[in-house]
Amino acid sequence: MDRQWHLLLKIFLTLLVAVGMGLVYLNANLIRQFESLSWAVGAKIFARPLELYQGAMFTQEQVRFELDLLKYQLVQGSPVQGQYLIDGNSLWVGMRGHNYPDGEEPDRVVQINFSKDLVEAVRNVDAKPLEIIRFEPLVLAQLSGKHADRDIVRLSDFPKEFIQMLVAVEDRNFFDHAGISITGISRAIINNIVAGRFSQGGSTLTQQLVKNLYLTRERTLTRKAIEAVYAILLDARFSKDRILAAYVNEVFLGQWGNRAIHGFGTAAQFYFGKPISELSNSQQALLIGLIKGPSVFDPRRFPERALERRNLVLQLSASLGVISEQQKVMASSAALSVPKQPADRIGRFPGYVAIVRRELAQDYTSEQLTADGLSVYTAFDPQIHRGLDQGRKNALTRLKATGLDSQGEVQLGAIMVDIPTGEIQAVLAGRDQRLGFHRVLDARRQIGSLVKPFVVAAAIEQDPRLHAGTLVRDETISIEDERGNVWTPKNYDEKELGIVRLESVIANSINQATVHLALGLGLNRILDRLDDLGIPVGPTRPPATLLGVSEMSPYRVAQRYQVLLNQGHQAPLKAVRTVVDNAGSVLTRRPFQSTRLMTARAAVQVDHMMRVGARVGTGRAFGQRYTEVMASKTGTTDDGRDAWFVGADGRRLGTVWVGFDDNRKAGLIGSVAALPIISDAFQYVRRTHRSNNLPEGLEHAWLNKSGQVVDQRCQGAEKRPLPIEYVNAKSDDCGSNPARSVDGHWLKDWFGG
Amino acid sequence: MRLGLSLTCVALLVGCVQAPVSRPPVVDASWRANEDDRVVSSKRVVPKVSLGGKTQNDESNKATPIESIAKIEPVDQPKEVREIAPPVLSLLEEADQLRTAGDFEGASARLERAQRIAPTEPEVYFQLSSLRLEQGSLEDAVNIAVQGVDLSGADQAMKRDLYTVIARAKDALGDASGASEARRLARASGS
Repeated sequence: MDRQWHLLLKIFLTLLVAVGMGLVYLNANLIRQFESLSWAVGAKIFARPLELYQGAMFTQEQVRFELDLLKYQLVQGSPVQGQYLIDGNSLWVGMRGHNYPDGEEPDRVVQINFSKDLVEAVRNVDAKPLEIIRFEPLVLAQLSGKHADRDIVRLSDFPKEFIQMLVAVEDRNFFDHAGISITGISRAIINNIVAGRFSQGGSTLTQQLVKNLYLTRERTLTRKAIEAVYAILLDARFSKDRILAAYVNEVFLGQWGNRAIHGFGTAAQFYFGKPISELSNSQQALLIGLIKGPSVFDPRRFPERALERRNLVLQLSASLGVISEQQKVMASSAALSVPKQPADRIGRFPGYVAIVRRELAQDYTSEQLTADGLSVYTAFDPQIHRGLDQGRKNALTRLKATGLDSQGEVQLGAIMVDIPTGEIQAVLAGRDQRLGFHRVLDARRQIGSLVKPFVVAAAIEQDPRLHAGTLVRDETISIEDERGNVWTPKNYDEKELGIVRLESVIANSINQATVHLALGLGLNRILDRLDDLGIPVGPTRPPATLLGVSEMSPYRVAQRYQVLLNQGHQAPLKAVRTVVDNAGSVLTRRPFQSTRLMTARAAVQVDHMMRVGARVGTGRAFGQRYTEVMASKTGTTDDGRDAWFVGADGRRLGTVWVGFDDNRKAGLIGSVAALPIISDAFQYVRRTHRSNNLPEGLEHAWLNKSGQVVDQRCQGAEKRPLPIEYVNAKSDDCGSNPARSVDGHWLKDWFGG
Repeated sequence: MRLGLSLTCVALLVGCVQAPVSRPPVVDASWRANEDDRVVSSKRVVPKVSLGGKTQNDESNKATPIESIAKIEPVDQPKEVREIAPPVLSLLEEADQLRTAGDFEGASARLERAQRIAPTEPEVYFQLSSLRLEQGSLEDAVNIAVQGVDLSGADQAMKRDLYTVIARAKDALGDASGASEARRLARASGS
């Protein structure tokens, strides 16, 4: 007997130790797993802030557009923070502050006066003028790394009443219990006995979390027991807030095809297309009601059940005092307001955000980017994006209507760049918001005539005597290509003009003259220079490079044109300005940089030739639309596979490519298919004239039709920037004498005459 | 440092005497001045980066601003005038204070904000290049100053100051011939 007891005791102790060890192991494992879960909110990506000051080029409409984007509320009375009032020519705004890396912008009420299309004055409530104000920046996107398909939301970003409702409905004692609720379990047991089977949970939020995270969905008593143990262990180790933060981002709330909807942030987007912070009480209640059965109460499939369930949640919340009776009545009478199709969960600016991500990837690991609280300040400009996007919509409609895109497959890539700083202000990666292939970054397409300004710039650098009026032969020309075949390029309209002015080579995009020009100066030298200027020539060095067989992405094209339109100074393209960590300290600042890649003399003359192109050449549909002095270049490749357009005002440069991903023959033309997109984009932004500033060595003078410098009173004389040496050789009459001095002797050399 | 600031104050004062109502006018870059024309540069009234700081020769520091103050003369009816907008001025002033306090990053951020508002204003490029010089980013100092020269149009005094920055940066880079060429250009502009 004694022996038997002894044995039993031994067995019992062994079991106890085993269970104990098991628990210790389980506990350690559980904690490790839980800690490895990242509910961190990834890097936040911000647009450029709207900065206003006296003289800023913004209309009241434009400022209102941004206030609406920032969710300021239009009110009739005195605005408080987050509200604004329209008062004739002025706006009163209760500005939300923001802690910028270079100083804090306080919450304050300001008055902004507009006069026509400018900001006339900015004042505070005491009518004291303010030098400069900055609105808080628009959030473009929030990166979430580990859960790429979820919108992770910080607990602190949930509306307070949402959390209160959630706790009231799902686990009233959440903040007091130890992970499991005895009353809940007792109630469940009684109900189960009454029902005669195991059906009801009585789970706490902690248990639900455990179930979602670690366990299968089967309903057994064992699983229930393990779940309870886990819940107790978790509760003992982690704070209620930490558990809640995991819960709200983990809870299962629906299914769409093979995609599971986890977390309220994701669900808010999935059911309402909005962030959680913007949901009404009725919408909040609907999401909370879904916890009990995402498919049973699916508002898309069973709207009546969902409505009933929602109102039950509202009823319960009101009875516990979380919302007022009045709120309950209001919310209960609201319609479901769930769109039939779930909103595309890609953000509104996927093309731009992708560029930001790629820039960030150079400096940060994905762990750093998904760690909590990184703030990324970019140059994204919502006004410019609006213009570009409008251009995109118009173009797609037009291309469909004209039969060039009957299947709705045409693609495009567009990018707007601030010329002096190289900052990228807006990007469209494709025809719609779906982000697969990024056509601005990754499409490699022949650039066609977009190469010509670079050929001319290279030529002017080779021989500084060249200028807008230099005469260039435009006749049939045949040369041996890289494979030893004869290459005989034709003009676009297959006409020959005999002799053209150099500026027409760009303005009217003349192929044969381009080839004559390059050959006259030495094909190899021009090709070498093109390569230096960032136009890839390739190892076989085809002469057709002169007419644009090089393949480039719109991004690279934009960078090249940034140099050309910036007096030859390259500012590297960039979207990211500054990255700031959780604590507000600056991790990265990408300072302004500039490198001379091309002589100012060549760049500025070519720039002016592009202005002629915009005024009377291939880009006239763009240039003539606006009163400002613009510059442009069109590009079209063989069989209309690619249509390109580059257009610029005094400040910005837009580049767009239109074509098909499979590179099919498409009959697209740069000036028809591509030009309007950039042209429309400029409709929405404040345009400025291209600058008349000339660098050392150039002066404005007047040219006659045959390219001679004459008096400005001569008939048909046109003002151009010209090399000073040439200006000094001005003709005394209006150019009745044939071509003289500077060109005379060397024209012969390579005009073969 | 202190000297730099006090010179700034003098410069501001002179600016006020010149044009009590608004900021003194600046000849627009597109306007071609005659060789003999005196051009009032807007930069007279903005805080001047004292190029020397800790590392540079102090004498040349003092010389530049005093000389330029002495040169201010009325302009005969320029066709167009340009002035530095108040927000740009206030950012330049802030940048100057930060630079003096040794916060180069902060100063740089202010100057780049100023550049976004006034991207063709050579004064901004002058300040940026001077800051890069002081930070020891010598290549950047040269490059940005070169761009400033291209934006200076007929503003000879501005060109001289920019060439002076280039000369100092080239000195520090060990490019003696580049430095002396820049000095030559500075002298040619400063007449």
